Amino acid sequence: MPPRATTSAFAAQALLMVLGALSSGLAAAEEDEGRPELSFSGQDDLEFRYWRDDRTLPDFPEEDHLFDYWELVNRINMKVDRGPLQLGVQLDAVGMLGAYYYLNDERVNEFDLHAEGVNFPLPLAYANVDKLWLGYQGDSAQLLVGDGYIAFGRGLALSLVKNTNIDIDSSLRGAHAKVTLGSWDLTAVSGVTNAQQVWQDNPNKQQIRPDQWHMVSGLRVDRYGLGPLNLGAHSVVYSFADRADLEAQPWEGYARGVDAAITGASVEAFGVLGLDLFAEGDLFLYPGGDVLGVEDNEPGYAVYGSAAAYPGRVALLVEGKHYKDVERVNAVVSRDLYEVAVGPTLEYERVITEDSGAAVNSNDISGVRVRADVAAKPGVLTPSLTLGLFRDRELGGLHFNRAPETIVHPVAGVDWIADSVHVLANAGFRVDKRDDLPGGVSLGADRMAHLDLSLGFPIGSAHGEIGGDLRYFMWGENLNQQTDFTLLTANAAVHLGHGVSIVGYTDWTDDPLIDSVGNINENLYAAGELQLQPADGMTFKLFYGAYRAGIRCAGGQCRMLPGFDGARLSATINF
Amino acid sequence: MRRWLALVLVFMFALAAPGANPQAGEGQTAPEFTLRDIDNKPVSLKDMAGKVTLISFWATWCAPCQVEMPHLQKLYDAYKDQGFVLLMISADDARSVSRVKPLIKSKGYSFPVLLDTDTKVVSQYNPNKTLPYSELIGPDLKVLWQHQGYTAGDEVETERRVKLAIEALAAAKTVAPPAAPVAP
Repeated sequence: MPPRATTSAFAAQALLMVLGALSSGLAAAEEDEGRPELSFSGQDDLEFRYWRDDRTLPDFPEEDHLFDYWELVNRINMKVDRGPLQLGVQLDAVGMLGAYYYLNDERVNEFDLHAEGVNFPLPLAYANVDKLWLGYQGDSAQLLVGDGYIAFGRGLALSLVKNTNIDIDSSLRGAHAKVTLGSWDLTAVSGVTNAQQVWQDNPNKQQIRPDQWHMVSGLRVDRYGLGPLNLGAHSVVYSFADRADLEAQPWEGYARGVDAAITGASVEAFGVLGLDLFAEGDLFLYPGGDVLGVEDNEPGYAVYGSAAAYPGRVALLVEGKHYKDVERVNAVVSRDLYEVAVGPTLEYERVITEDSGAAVNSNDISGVRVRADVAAKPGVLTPSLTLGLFRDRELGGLHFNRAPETIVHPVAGVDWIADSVHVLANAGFRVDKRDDLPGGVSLGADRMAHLDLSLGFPIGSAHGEIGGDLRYFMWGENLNQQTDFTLLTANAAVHLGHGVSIVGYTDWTDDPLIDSVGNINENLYAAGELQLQPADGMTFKLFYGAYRAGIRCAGGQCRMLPGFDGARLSATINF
Repeated sequence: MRRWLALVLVFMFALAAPGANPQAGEGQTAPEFTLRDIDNKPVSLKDMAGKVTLISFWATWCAPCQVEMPHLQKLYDAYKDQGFVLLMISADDARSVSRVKPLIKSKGYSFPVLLDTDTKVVSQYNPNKTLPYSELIGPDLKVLWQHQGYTAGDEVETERRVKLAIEALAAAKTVAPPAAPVAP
């Protein structure tokens, strides 16, 4: 373990002590007239879990299943505010209480695989000050030193934001400044990427590793209220560290060459001829192509636009994109399971599969999505229709296909929300039609039918909810000749009032690509959860059972999430 | 086993020490922010001083948020003339922000909707981004109440809290001393 982690651990302890002192001692002395009060707040996410994988390795005794894994994960966010000043810290800690696997008939603690030095505050634990910042919020200036989040435009050039849906929390550690001068905003950032070391939803076995300090510097200028227009322009430069730089200090990135440089502009119009319009274009230059794993330095570009109109009871949204060699900017950081720039995908991300996930991160794709929502009964009944059309020309990489493909994806939905009853539903059919190979060889089309449903209804004095989704996926011709499969996820909840809920979950799938097995039988997973909210800002959940592994996409990023079979107790407490 | 026990105790200490305040968040100063609304107007929390403000974080992809919204619209309609402000802050990031205004328009909602596309504000108020998430802010810009998630019936408690705060605001205005005379 590099010295940096140990230093962070001691810094964590020191900060906890400082913040504790501030909260308990100094707050009492805040009666001084005319001085802004000191305010201390925070949030604690704690999870204690036992994972088990009953599968066995070939030629090993049956009792030697893959692993038993005890884990305690704690994420504490704390803030101290005083007037315009704010000091914040996020401490991530994990106790790897027992992570066993079998080697040569011996039960081995996986913790021993970690590098030396993961020894804070006690053996078998790791703690890290993952985020630390000092901020100033003035009327015309916002300054932040430390960890912050930033997105320019629609995120095509730079988007380092929280994506907790798939357990991603990467920040930009450095200096952030935003200055407002009349109708002008100037935003400047410079620093290094700071990925999370501790996973909240994934097992931490063999995944704790030091940060790769990738340099990011960016500047954006916004001009608001130019008539109905907002104009913006930005530039971002990236300098990526390679694996040999693990011991490098953050500031050393400034001495490295630029690997990627992006410049772009956006224009936004409000209510022009009844339309809300947005357009952004970005040019991607890759002077460090070899770092990004490609041999050429060909530039890339991205164009995104949207138009919204509201005729009568209809809300119409049209979006279009054309991205060429844009994802290359994420090539290095994606090894650490996050991205630094994420543009709109226009995809219905909930139904992305291992196959269609390739289109989300394609380096050569065009697409358009049209969505119409109708206020049939305003605020109560809203049917909708969506049509997505894409042309994905990239081959290789995550793609299962050998030819460009055209994607057609219609979805129909309805929202009905009455006083105590709701129905949220949609159904769609996606076709990924591959071009024929030379000579007229057909590769067919991947197809998926899908249904999402959420129902809420009263049960006496309690309230019930049923939710679920069903996907049936049919492969065309593909290199690995995968078999068609079905995915079913369902849950039923009873909310008993007074903050008590009981939830049951089940998954069924015969997807051969999924790396998990059910706890009822090979394909069937079942679980139950008791949820308690004894007070506002305090939630406890006790979960027992299993759910499946698989790809999950959110926020323009996809991640293979592991299945789970075991028990866990989680708590979220605001203070 | 002793190592385990010690470790668990350390973690539980970290959990319990700051959480000793049984009224989570109450009395803390709400973090200041300035965000643009869906019609491009800047809105600052500091401008809500002297009012009762309910901040509700939501997103277009959050189903419970959609179910809660009609109740918040009713709340807004009922109390907006009594010093009550509802700020619906969308946690949609830059990638999906184009969807926000069409969704609001399609449902016919009239409450103010703000955009937090780089997740700075939601990260300050609710770091784990569980949605929906609400905070009731008093006229002195201090937090009166926090609530995480939504299940049917939660709107009753939300309205009760809002009503209490509005009544307190009205009472404070009634008993407030007359302004001191200003020297010519």
